[in-house]
Amino acid sequence: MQRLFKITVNGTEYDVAVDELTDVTSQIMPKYTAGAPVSPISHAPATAPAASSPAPARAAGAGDQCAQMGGVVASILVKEGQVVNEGDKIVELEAMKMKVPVIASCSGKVSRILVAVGDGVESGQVLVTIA
Amino acid sequence: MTIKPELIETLRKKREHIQHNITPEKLEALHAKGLLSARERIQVLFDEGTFQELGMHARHNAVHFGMAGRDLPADGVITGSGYLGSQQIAAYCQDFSVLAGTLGKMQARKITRIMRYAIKTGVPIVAFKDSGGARIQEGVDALSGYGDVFYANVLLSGVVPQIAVVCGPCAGGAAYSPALMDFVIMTRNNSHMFLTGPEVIKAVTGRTTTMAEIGSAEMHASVSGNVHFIAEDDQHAIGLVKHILSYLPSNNTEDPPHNLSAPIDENPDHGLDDLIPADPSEPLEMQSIIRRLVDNGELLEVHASFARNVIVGFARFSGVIVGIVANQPMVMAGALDLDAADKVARFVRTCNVFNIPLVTLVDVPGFLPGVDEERGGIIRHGAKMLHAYASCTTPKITIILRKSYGGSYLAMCSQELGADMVFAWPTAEIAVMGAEAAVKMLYRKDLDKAEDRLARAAELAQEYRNEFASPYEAASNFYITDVIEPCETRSTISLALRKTLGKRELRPSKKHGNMPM
Repeated sequence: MQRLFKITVNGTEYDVAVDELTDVTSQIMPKYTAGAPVSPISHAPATAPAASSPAPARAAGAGDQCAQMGGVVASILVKEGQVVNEGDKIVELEAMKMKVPVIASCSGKVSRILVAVGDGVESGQVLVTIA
Repeated sequence: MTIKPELIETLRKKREHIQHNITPEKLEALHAKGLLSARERIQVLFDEGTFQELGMHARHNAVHFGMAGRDLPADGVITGSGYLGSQQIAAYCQDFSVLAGTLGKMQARKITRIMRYAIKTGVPIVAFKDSGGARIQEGVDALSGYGDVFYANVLLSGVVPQIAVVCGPCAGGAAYSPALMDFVIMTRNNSHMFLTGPEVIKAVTGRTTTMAEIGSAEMHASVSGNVHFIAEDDQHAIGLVKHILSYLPSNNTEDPPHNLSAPIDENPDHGLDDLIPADPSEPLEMQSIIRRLVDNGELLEVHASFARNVIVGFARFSGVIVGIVANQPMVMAGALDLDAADKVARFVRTCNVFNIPLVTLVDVPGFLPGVDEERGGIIRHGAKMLHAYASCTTPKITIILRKSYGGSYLAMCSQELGADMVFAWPTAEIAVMGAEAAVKMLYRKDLDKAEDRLARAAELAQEYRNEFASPYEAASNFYITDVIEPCETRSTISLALRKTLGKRELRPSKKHGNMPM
């Protein structure tokens, strides 16, 4: 859609025609906003990410331990700084009246815990990162 | 009068030239990468001296783009048949050392010829896919060649087992041939499979991607579900082929190779009790249950990395070959989702066409609730499971271990879907919905009046659970055959299978059912 504007710059009038790219912006904007700030949320309170973001905003990295399904965090079995082995149970979710174990996909030190007991989490959301 | 020696000499030379088309240095380079040459693959697959080649001397007829007179041994594909023990197998292997194994009209004719041989003689076919794609120099003839191969794949489908081994590139239209076959094996490091490669994706969509992201064995085995097995190298892939074939009949008119002389195991197995968590919300580890139940703990898992919330695979119960379908509560609580439904439906149909009895082990909380699931068509996908199970006429034995709720109770081969026998453990919970949800709907008024709503709800839920979330409500309505102790499971299944092996079920004649896709 084209819209016409009259602009005055230093006393001189200009007629300006502007093309509005409605469709393109609506497609591109979310992509940019989602992709841009991927830098880690520096030690935010553990509850924040779970409640705020409706969908996991960033792609899971190598050490990210994600929820395999939506549910509620029932217990967190590790502490920040703790060394874990691949295959260890690190978090337990509750979903569909079942306990759903989150198993460490790699060995290393727990660098951050991003959720707290009682948080609702979505499928794919990062719960714990292992470095 | 004797044959002129030069005639024999000419033949020997021709054979030598075709069979040794690869230099020792190149062969060594292949081996270093875990690859075998095309002839070596054939050699490793078959018992020594049993392979007979079809069309070794076949040549292409292309003349354009410098193809006239171009020497391409066997036209880039080795086709023939041989024996694996007493079982005859047909096979073809594309030869990457011959013009990158590209497919033209003659190669396609050779391939379809051996496929038709397989269907005539009723023997399985193994296809090694290792090809750069269409032989562009042959133009539309190459395209036509692919069409011929696909058509033959469809003719064979449901008649003889078809196993694809993707052990090199398999790109573009070529990728549809494995997709039309029963089982697809892919080698981990040396193969890739996609319709459009990274360059085309970049040109059309602007997105930068990698071969691994769109076509690796790992991705296809765990994300797209196009691949059933990952092999570490060519030798391993051929081992897998033999392993798969050991569970299959030669064709759809035969039974799988049961060992009916094996005694039926009647011993109770109390070790199983230790694998069942006391708390119903604690997930049970289904892999260990299965391995405890089947002969020698051997399960050949199909689609092991895909939709891991269900387990499907081949095993034996006191010698009888079965397809196992089981929920895996350790993954996503064992809930059924889009991929799980597809995985089960596909496997059940594979078992049905090859007369393989089904053993279904149920511990399922339900279909996975969610916006993505509903919008992704969980109704359509779940319906595939119902359709597959209900159309399957092989013996069907179902064991309900613990949870079995609502639609997922039906989808996991309940009596209504045609199970011949349904057994339940005392831990089974068979109900239309979970206790809490049922109480909310059934006792709405009661709860509104209650002083302490939560306490009352919990009390009613417990009552409901005691009354209905057990196997006995279903058993008293005769929806299950019997309630059994877990230690009796292996002997019960073994006996039930022997008794139902002779099952014959007649259905109205039709072209085919219209399974939701």
